[in-house]
Amino acid sequence: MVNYRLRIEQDLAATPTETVGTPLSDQAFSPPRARPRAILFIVLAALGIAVFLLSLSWSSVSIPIDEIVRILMGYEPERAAFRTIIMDIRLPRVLTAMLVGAALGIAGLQMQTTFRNPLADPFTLGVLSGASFGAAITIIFVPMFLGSINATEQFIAIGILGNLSTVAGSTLGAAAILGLMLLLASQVRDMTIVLLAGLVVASLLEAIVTVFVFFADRERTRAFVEWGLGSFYRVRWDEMPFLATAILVGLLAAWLTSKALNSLLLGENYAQSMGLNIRQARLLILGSASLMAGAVVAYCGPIGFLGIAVPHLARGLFGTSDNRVLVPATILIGMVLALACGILAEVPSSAITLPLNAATALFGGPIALWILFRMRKQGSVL
Amino acid sequence: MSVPILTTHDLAIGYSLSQTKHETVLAQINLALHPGEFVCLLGPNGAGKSTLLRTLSGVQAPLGGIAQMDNTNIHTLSKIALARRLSVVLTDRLEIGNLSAYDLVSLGRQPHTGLLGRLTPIDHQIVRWAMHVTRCTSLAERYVSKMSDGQRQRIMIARALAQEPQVMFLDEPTAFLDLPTRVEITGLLRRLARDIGLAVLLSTHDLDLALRLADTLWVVTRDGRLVSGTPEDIILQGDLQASFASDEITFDAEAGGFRLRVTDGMPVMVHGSGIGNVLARRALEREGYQILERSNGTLPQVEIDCHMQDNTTVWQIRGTSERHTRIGGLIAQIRTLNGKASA
Repeated sequence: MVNYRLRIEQDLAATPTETVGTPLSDQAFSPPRARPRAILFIVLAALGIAVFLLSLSWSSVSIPIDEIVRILMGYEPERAAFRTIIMDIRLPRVLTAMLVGAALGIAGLQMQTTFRNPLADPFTLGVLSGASFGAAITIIFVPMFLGSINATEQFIAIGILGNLSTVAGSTLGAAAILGLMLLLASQVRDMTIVLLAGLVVASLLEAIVTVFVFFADRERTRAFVEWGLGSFYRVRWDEMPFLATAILVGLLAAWLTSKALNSLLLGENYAQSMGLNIRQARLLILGSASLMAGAVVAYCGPIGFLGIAVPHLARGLFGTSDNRVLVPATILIGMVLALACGILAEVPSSAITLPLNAATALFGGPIALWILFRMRKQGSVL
Repeated sequence: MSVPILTTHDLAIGYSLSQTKHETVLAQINLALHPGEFVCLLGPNGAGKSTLLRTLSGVQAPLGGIAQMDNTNIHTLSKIALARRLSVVLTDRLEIGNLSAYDLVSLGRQPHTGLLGRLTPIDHQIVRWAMHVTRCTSLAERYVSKMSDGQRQRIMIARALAQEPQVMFLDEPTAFLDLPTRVEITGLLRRLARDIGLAVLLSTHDLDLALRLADTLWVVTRDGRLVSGTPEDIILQGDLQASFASDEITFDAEAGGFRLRVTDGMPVMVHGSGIGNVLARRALEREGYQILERSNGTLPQVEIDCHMQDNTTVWQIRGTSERHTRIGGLIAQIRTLNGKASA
């Protein structure tokens, strides 16, 4: 039997320890680049706070930052209306944006690593469409089952139940498509084919949703179209707990599976040889990705590009593929980027509001292109 | 010899097509792998080398028999327990762009770390040591994606070593490498086996290196047997010849390598000794001539003398006046002679 500890002690004794830079001494290289990472995290957090305050400030009505800080700290503002605007309208919107950014970024990170495909994300693999499909089915069919109850009761029932069932429906839809894509990816090694299949499945599901919507009443059709454009606006305080719980559970799962994600970096065969239970890890990783994608779609609509862009920004900025660093980094960058997209969609100091998906595409599109060019140049960007 | 770390008893390997249908690749495998032993697994493509490695590393269930490590069935050991005893280097392509060598070697600590994979100072020390003994310390901070194939293979071996294994399997670790790097990597693995007491099993097509460096060869023969023994015994038993020889090549037991099979070339004899003789024979053999030994009864059509003159080797074909100081010139002259003879 090889006794490694004993052997290392012998080798250590054989190398002069006082010489700095000998391969075995502690000073030679303890965890590399530990300090720059801490600084990067602090800078990102500061940036996050800045964008957070700007998001609360810049909108149809500009509210000075010092007023916002006063309101958030519980003091009375100069004008009472400011308080209502900030607390009831802007704060839920900004919190939603942060949750969505973190959720989509992490779901993208999880999918890119599990599929070993730098272009995999909830949008490209059709998971958002799966979630939309699930949500559409629940939105249309759940009220039908509740049809016997009178109008007021139905309204209340949908208010709570409707949202929960929409989350459940879209999560199931997301999970079904993720499962399908994983099955396909295990059969087909070529990642281009998997991506194309994802796009085809997405179009197919969108077509079915369109058919549903076509036969729905005018009010619902309008709601669907608006929902499809994506928005951080629809979440009110009474819905926030559901969205927040779903996403925080997903983020926690992602953090707990970052070790598994790391072993998957080398591919499934290596991961297995390092003791990973692949089946269980996949279920946890892709289950949490589905939950987060499902919650986002149910409350904010299918929001594209954040999932693909954020993890790559994290990799580029921190210069690592280590998921124990990338998970917190992706959460922070996702929040910042989503808030920035929110500001862009608001078109500061104007009454115009752009569709959110236009803003995320404007930010994320160039990043996706940059990834493609880097892939061509260096082969691998994960 | 010492107590084996890994043994197989009547192991049968292959694939289950359905509940009742099996495709057996190899059966009746009885092998033993000892601590500190350096074993090369040889065999033609598709003979079942990879299936054997996959079965022994617990990825694939056997069709029959048992494979044991430390007297425990490999296929009932938990994944973690197995990962703490056995590590692998595979042919799988790495598709990571942003991982430093140090971080990659650290991944080898996974079976030993906790839920979040946090590395303790002891883990860091083992990582450093693994890079030290595989001589890749200087690569620590570099990205794995920007390394040469040989450097990356060293890192992958360091990663496997950081797992603190008793047994290391390597699937064709020298494929895609240039010749000097092949020798280096094979030498490194042999040193790890000798020096640390690790049992190393690698599949390879580098017959020459395997014959020179392996303590033991496991050879999958053409007729579906798995034989094991020292390289010399395997040669004596004729198993290498049986598994690799074909119409094109023949195994030269004395030289310990393969050569092209030539039967119908013009008979040639080379006189003289030293490097001049050896090189002339090699060149003539490549050209497709039949090299005659003195004892052979066939009469040579061409005889070549070689000797040293003023520190240079000179070749001369008997019956001609031209004196060659370069093999190229000699070959050209024989070609024209041969052309005249056949015309």
